[in-house]
Amino acid sequence: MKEYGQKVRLVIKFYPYKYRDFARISAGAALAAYDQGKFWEMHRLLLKRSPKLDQTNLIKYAKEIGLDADKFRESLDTRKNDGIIERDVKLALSLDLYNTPTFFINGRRVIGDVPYEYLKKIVVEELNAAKK
Amino acid sequence: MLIGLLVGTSSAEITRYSVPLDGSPSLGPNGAPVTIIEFIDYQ
Repeated sequence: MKEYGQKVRLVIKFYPYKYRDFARISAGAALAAYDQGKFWEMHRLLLKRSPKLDQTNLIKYAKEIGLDADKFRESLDTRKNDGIIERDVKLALSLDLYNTPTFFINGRRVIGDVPYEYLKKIVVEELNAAKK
Repeated sequence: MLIGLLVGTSSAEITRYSVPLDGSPSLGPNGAPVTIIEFIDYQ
């Protein structure tokens, strides 16, 4: 969505599937990076390296993007941001979501790993509607 | 006139969900005309 620069805002909510071993800890890793001002760097790395998301690897990634590794590890160990993840999970359940990714584009729901072109089509529709 | 009416009807059929942002991590300006909220699982 980079091509739309100032016209599109992307917001990330966490919906870790509870039966996957590293889903929750990797959401915690993203938030630990957020606390150190490097959320998007970690976000991209997690998507790229998935499913290698065990704690040892996560700490390696943290070092790779220049995070304070001790603070990062402490955040994971104490589950510092679990409240945020829980809040997002509750929100997802209240919206009857059972799939990831799920997108809401100006509130329009798109479920699953749809082709980029499909997302783009809706974004363009919304941009055109906003111009009117 | 009729066309205008039909367009109005079809766009009214789009369901829009209200999803609170709650200060979640975001990229792009607050006032952007389009907001994409993504629920994600990294694994």
